[in-house]
Amino acid sequence: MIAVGKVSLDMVAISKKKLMEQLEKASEKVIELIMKEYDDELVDVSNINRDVGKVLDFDGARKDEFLSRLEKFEFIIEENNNIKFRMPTMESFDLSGNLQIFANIFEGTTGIYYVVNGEEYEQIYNKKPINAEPLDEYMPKKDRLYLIKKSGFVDRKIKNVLKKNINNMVFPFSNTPPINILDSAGEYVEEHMPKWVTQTVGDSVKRLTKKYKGVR
Amino acid sequence: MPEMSLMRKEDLSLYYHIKDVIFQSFMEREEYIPLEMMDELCTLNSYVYAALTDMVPSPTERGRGWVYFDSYESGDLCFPYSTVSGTTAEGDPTTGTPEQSNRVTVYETSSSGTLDAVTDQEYMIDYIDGRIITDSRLSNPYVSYYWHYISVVDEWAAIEAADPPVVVIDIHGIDKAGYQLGGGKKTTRKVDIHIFASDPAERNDIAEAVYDGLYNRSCPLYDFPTGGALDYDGTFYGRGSPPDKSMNKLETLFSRDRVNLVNRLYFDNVTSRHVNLPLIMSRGRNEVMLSDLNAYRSKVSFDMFSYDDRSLE
Repeated sequence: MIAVGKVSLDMVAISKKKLMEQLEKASEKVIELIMKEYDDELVDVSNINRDVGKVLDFDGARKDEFLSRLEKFEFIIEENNNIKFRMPTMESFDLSGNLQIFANIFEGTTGIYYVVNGEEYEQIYNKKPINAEPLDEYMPKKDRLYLIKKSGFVDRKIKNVLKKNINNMVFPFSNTPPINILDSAGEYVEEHMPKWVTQTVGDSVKRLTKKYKGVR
Repeated sequence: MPEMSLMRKEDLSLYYHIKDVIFQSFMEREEYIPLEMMDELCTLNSYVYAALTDMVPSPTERGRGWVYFDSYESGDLCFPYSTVSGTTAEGDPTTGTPEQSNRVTVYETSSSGTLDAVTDQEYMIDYIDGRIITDSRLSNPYVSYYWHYISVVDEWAAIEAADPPVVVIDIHGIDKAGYQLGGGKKTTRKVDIHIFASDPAERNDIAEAVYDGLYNRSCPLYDFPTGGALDYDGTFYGRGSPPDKSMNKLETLFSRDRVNLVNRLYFDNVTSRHVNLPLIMSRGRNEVMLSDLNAYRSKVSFDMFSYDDRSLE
């Protein structure tokens, strides 16, 4: 004869394992959806101008870094025997360092901005960058990115000091409403979560029934 | 002409709720501002005057304008404007809100040098551009008026058209689903209110006002059978229509009829957070600072939902 408590504990353990497996798969799908959105919404626009596209590098190292942080993101959290599925958001996802430029895109930017590196910044202003964090604090000065608002003063400096064409330096996401690719997978999770839970419970019950078949 | 879609009615209703109710305490007053005649816009029987103000931000910048409703005195915060009976511009009976009677006052200088108020039937007001239109020439006129301090716009591209504070209403994401046995559906829309302020204190004030105006609240879903409160030319609905100036303002109302069998918009999951972006701008020759419009930002996000039972009719 078997105690009801033992069956109950087994049910919890089996369900938890099954749910974790299901959520692991879900997190992979979420990453896939966000990266698809990344390609669709960011890469093409960033390459509208080849010069700026090269500096932004949304299709190279920056994309690898973004994917790497998504893969390290803690989607599943266990707390007091509860399992939570967490989505990456502006608050929870690490956009520091050389991913900081994405915050400008995800939050939207008003006005026209130029993309300059740390060296160009110093050439324009004859001084080191102000206390605003550089967009890429872990990178060499020449590879750091800053967004500087368009003005007559900046236009003249770009033309006369940097000897560059201002049109080749415009941040392609200037004056653009928020494009938050992190939100893109939320709907998928909301829609599928009830199904995942129901399926997990169903599978667990089947497994438990099989395990205790014939036991009284 | 096809009827407005439900989404457009929701968008407009939310706009009125934010501009007229939530930002009630952000209406400013300017007193005794000289009115200058705009010769190029005047005709034989029509004289157009513009207010000569040097106020910053300008009261007539995009998304601002003069206040066209009186302040409300009764009702809860979800539905504060009381309605009166009157007619539409076509003469059909309706209930709604009349044009303001104490927010804008026009004065004329008398021969003895005193300022006498001009009766409000003798002029029309262009609330968007801050102009007075009369059918007779005024003697050294002045105007006192209330204006919307916060610019409320519904498109990102319009943000730079006004000095801060600017608020953008952004409705995105629609979900429609059944909510009961039988017909009817629940419509949920994701909304972000982007706040662009000129300093941290102002940003905090506006963000708090928006949050409090939405949290645990709802607003009426208007049907707009005769359009918005202002006509295309900035005058109050129906004011430009009468063939003479004898029409009593109270007879033409902005209709507050609600959408039948939908009625209200509810707000849920209201969250607020500040947005800090490392954008840089130049001020003067060598002064560098964080970008003006992007420097003091906040975002209030929420779900807006309604129960649509029109299919049960």
